[in-house]
Amino acid sequence: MIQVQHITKAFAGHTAVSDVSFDVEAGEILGFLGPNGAGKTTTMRVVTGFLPPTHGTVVVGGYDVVTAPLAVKSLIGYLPEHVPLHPEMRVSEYLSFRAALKGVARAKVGRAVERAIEECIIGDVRGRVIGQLSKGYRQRVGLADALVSDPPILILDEPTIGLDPTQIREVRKLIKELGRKRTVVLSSHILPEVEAVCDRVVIISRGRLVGEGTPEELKRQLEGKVGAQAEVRAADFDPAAFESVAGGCSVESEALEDDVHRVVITAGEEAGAVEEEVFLVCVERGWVLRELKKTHVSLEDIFVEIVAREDHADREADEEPDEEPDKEADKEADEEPGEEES
Amino acid sequence: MSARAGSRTMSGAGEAVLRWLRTLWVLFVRELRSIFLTVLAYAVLCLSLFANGGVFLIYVFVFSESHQGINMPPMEMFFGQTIFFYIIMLVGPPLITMRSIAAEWKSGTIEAVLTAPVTEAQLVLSKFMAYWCFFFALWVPTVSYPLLLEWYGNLDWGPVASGYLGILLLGGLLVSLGIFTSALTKHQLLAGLLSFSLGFVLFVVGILAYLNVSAKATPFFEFINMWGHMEEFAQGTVDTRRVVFYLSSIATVLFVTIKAVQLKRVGQ
Repeated sequence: MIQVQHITKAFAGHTAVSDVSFDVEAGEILGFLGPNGAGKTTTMRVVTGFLPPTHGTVVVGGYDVVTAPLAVKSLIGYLPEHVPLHPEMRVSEYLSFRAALKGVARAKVGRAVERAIEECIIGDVRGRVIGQLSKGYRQRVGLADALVSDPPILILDEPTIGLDPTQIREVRKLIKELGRKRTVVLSSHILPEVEAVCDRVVIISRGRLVGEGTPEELKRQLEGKVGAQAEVRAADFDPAAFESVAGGCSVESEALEDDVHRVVITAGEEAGAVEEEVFLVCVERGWVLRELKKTHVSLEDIFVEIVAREDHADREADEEPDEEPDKEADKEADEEPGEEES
Repeated sequence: MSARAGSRTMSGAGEAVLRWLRTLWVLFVRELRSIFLTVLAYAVLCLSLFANGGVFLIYVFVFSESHQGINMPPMEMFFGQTIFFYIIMLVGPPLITMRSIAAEWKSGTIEAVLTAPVTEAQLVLSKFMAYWCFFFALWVPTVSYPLLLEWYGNLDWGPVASGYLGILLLGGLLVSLGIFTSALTKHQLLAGLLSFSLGFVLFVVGILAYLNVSAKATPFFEFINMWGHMEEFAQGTVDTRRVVFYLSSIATVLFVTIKAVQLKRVGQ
């Protein structure tokens, strides 16, 4: 349904997206995951035809975004990041305007608006002026706007940002329902959201594609990865003692007090019971084991790790951090930390 | 570029034109309604009524005191033969148009508009049409002045009609300049100041025609002299050259505006 091929988007002074390619199949929900300033919004703007790519092509439903922008735009329902709505209009009035603008036949506008209002549960604010709505309702009006012409493709940029937890759950449920008969691309910087809603995930960091797969695939790649975390008191502490655990693993340690050290051990996939081996090493050396915990690597850890690794590599490559200029710092506030400790 | 989507089949071409016009109409209606929902609209409406009313009162008094040697009918004077007219003309359009596109850049609604099947041309044209209509709405109440004169005496309605045509054309140019500067920035005030400056420069360069700066340049100054043009219109002369000048200038400014929106969108 959507083929994104090697798109690069450069602005004066920095490159927001470089050489990103991915496909979206008809009927799937694709999650577009990345930290703030990774280039998610820019990519979505390129796909919707709002921004032309510097290089590369985007084909939506068989139409090229650059050469047939109107055909592409009539296939897509788009919810922009900050949900820009005309504040002076009433909800139903705005939706009628948008439906007409998107080419819904005059006689069908009323029905289309009713359906969108019903689907997004905004019936109780239909007569209100948009400027006076709460963030949650604005978000849902934005969604209704994206839906109103019943487009086969929905592109939603951070659809749950700024919502309270109940609203987040409602919107996610709504997206899942919408995704049953439509192709949906949604961006998010919150991993559990993507995990909960999407069929497939694309991870983007600093303008580059760094991972792709179903949440299960991504998880399976990492599920084998187990490890242990221990706190050890020993005068003759030597982290190298743990390196042979599980047939070779990575060990990080830091000194907490004089003799007390924290050790984080991450083993390979077929590692087995790492914590038992850690215990045995301590016994053998006569070290005091103050705490021992089995750890699983969550998708979130991987996400953070991939992003951090890329980040690190990038910073070595060029000193200048190229963030998107319009990203506010307050978006950092994660609604859901999504820890997966066991 | 707008017809591209529909031009795949010949039979679809007519339909595509209709669709194009419908989108323009939908945008225009929304824009016009939203103008009338702003406080600024009513403030400008009141101000222009006060200003025009006061000015007209002065003309009538001047006219009644014909011993001062001024022998010009009030309506002719009203259509641009005093500086008051140009003050209203140069201040009004920047004031009403400054938010037209700047506000869309600021709030981001332009992203919603341009990701619907809408071209920049439709956006700019609909803005221009809506603000031009609003501009003319400011002048509609002044029709009561010639009606008043008709009540107390005889009035030649020909020059009145051509006078309003002049207001419409000159106003159209100033409104298009306002839309243009508003497309350049998200700061309304900046857009307003810029379009006021453009209009003011146009006015000043035009009246250089009266100063005989150089014989070579005078025809050029006359060509853009809005005072001179309004004089003709007020006397009942509709010169095709003037009509063509204003309409083609408006078209040029709007074309540049469309290009400006495209360029600015790319650099977003």
